[in-house]
Amino acid sequence: MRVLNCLIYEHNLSLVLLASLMCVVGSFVTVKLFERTLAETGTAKLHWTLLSATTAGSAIWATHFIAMLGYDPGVPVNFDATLTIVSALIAVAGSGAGLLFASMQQRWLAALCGGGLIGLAISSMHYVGMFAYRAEGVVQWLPEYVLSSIAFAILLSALSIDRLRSHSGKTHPWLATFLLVAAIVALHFVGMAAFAVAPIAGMGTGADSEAFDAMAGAIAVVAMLIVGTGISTNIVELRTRRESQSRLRHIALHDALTQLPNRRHFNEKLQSLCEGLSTGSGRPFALLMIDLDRFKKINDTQGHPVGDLVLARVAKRLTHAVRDSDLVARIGGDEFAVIMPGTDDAAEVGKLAERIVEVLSRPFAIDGNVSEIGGSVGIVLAPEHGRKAEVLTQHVDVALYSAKHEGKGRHYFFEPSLIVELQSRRQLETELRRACMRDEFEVVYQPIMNITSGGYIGAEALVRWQSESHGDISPEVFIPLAEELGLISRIGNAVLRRACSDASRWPSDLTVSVNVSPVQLMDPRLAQTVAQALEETGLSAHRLELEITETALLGNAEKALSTLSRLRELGVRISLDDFGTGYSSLTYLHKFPIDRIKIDRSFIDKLPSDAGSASIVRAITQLGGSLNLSITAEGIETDEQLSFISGQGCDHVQGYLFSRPLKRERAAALFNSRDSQTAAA
Amino acid sequence: MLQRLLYSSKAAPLPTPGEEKALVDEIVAHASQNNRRVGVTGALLFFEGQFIQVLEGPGDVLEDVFERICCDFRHEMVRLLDLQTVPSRIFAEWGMASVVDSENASDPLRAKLGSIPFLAGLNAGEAIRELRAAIDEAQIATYEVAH
Ligand SMILES: Cc1cc2nc3c(=O)[nH]c(=O)nc-3n(C[C@H](O)[C@H](O)[C@H](O)COP(=O)(O)O)c2cc1C
Repeated sequence: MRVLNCLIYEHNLSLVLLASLMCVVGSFVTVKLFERTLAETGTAKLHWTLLSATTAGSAIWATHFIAMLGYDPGVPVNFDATLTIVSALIAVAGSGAGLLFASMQQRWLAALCGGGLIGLAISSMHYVGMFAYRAEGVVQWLPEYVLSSIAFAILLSALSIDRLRSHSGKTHPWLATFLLVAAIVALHFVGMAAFAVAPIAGMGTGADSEAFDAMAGAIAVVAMLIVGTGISTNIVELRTRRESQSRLRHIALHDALTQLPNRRHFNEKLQSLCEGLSTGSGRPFALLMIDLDRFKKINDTQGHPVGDLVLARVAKRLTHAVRDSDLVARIGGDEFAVIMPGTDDAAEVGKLAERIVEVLSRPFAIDGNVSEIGGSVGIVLAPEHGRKAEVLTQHVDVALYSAKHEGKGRHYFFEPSLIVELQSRRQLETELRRACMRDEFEVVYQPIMNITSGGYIGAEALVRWQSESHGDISPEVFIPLAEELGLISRIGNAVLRRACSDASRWPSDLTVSVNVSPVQLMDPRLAQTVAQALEETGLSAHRLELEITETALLGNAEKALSTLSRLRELGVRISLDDFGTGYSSLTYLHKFPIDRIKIDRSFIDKLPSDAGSASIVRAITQLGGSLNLSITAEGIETDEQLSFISGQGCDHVQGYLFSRPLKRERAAALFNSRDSQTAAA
Repeated sequence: MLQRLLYSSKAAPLPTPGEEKALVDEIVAHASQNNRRVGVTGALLFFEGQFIQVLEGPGDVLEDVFERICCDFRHEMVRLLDLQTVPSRIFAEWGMASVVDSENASDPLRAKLGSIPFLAGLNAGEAIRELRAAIDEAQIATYEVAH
């Protein structure tokens, strides 16, 4: 009751309002700065403690002092300057010390010591301030009010620190702010109730209220300036920190080379779209996975810096191709992804995929060189093809895989049947690997005849493979697969060794021809492998003929030339297979050490009716004659073909007309029965 | 290092005969302004739905311009036919000269224009010289040449 009386009857209300404003604003900022200080460590913590203490001390002191000025004891009043200043310093130093304690490990200890110290600081500031207050009257103190005011201040401050310590989250700690305001208000007004002045007769009455008003205003302005500085420092600092955080976030979510969102960013986006689908609030979307074709070749032949430039340009082109709302991400070396939110119209998505394929098929001019790559695109639609991120990425990979294996430079939508195809292909791959380890390939031999004498001159070794699950697999299927899996050299070498071994049991005038893949031809160890096979099997070198294809020569002509020369030095003969199907660079044929050309079966097939094929065959045989090369015609199936060929000056022939490919035992039996010089059907 | 580049492409979608001129003018107005700023010169021929463009300028700048052209969806099937270091410019007067086939042109000129797309794939140097000659001829005939 006394407190209320004191507040209402003994105070100038407008100054009380000013003090309250000071108190609330000051507490708000103080708590904000306290919160920040508690979160800091090291020297930054000291800086923030200093700033917080100055702000808190000024705010508390100003509240007190303005309220004092608003107190009208009914007698003349004076202030002791020194003590007034000391009281302000106590507020600052006490808040600072309290703050340091407030970060102690134990929360309750921190609240007790830190909060208690702050409460004590507020109290000492108040009572020292009261000693500076010189009222010209008879002053009386009421100890119970003094004690309870101090108790209130300590308790409320401690609670405030306790709340602040337990506060977490993004909102302002309002409860702590309220408690601090309560601590200051309670201390002041209960403390004022502890103080009574009785006028002494003959002295003037009342305080000089006009001067006091001016002083209160001035103090409020200065205190607000300090508080303002405190809060703006905090805001500015927070903003810089937020900026650097958002920069860090940008770095974490973007690819440095292309500046596109990276895999993590892509995953987050995909995840959030899938979550939208599962909660029912989301819209459909399309996911496109893009893989560059022939990119590895650029890195290998032109170097990684050029490869990186290409990737950066690919990123730009993709960004141009998509809509603004689509997300383009780089999710791996040469793998990109596009997410089209809000679209599940296959026609629209297909159109974008076509744009992507088109824009990637355009040339790249870099440092005066031109690179041609291309892109394959796999597509899934959500929710049509799946609702979960993992399912969608699996399915899109299946679609991409199909696009790449159906000839690249195209797009493929996911379909369940593709999984079956993929699985069957994967199984074939596994079986091929296993067959390679166990050397499960069979070698069969197709006899080659001398066209004039009708006798055998040898045979071509052909590889056969029977897979466990798929049965007989054509070499046209498993040879490219083996090339892709990097197994071709192994298979080629195994066939070579077997063929040499089998041929060593044939009469010594018969030769064996073995196919050599372009990959083998580029391997510098080929000559050594051949020499070893010959030595192990005892087959003399002139009985071995290696068949290479034209394309193998075009890839890296110098390397091919050096390998071929070494093979020739061994005494092995070289023939050019499938002649006429490649670039037909008849002109540079003479540069390579070649003994024989084989006319491809695709021309023989159309003989003798097709004029074009007939003239090609004629041109080849003439060329062979002029370069002194033997000519073999493959795939002879009819008598008409045979008679056309014999008229052209072809030396040797092979085909179903004479014999199918034979198993090794049958081939050996055929060649070794000296009298059997007619073909087996 | 001064380089010259020749490419062909197909307009996408194909403009109707009435739209051809406007399409090319729009491209060329922007292109010649851009090109002048960076020191690139050249010429653009539009014939039967096909663009044939020559660009000449410092290598790196030229590659930048060509890369921007490769991001453009107003055409497709972009084929780079020639990229070479050259001693001097052939189209130094124009940021981008242009010729569009038109019924008003004389028959010999139209025949010449028509041969350029074929020549471009076989002999780029010859195609470029023919294009320059065609532009000169078109100018003398006051047949419109943008610049
Ligand atoms: C056939 C064709 C030829 C073009 N030639 C040029 C050219 O020579 N120079 C150029 O800057 N832009 C050319 N463009 C336009 C570019 O593709 C691209 O739109 C433009 O450079 C973008 O310029 P901006 O960055 O000023 O918007 C051509 C576009 C087409 C379809």
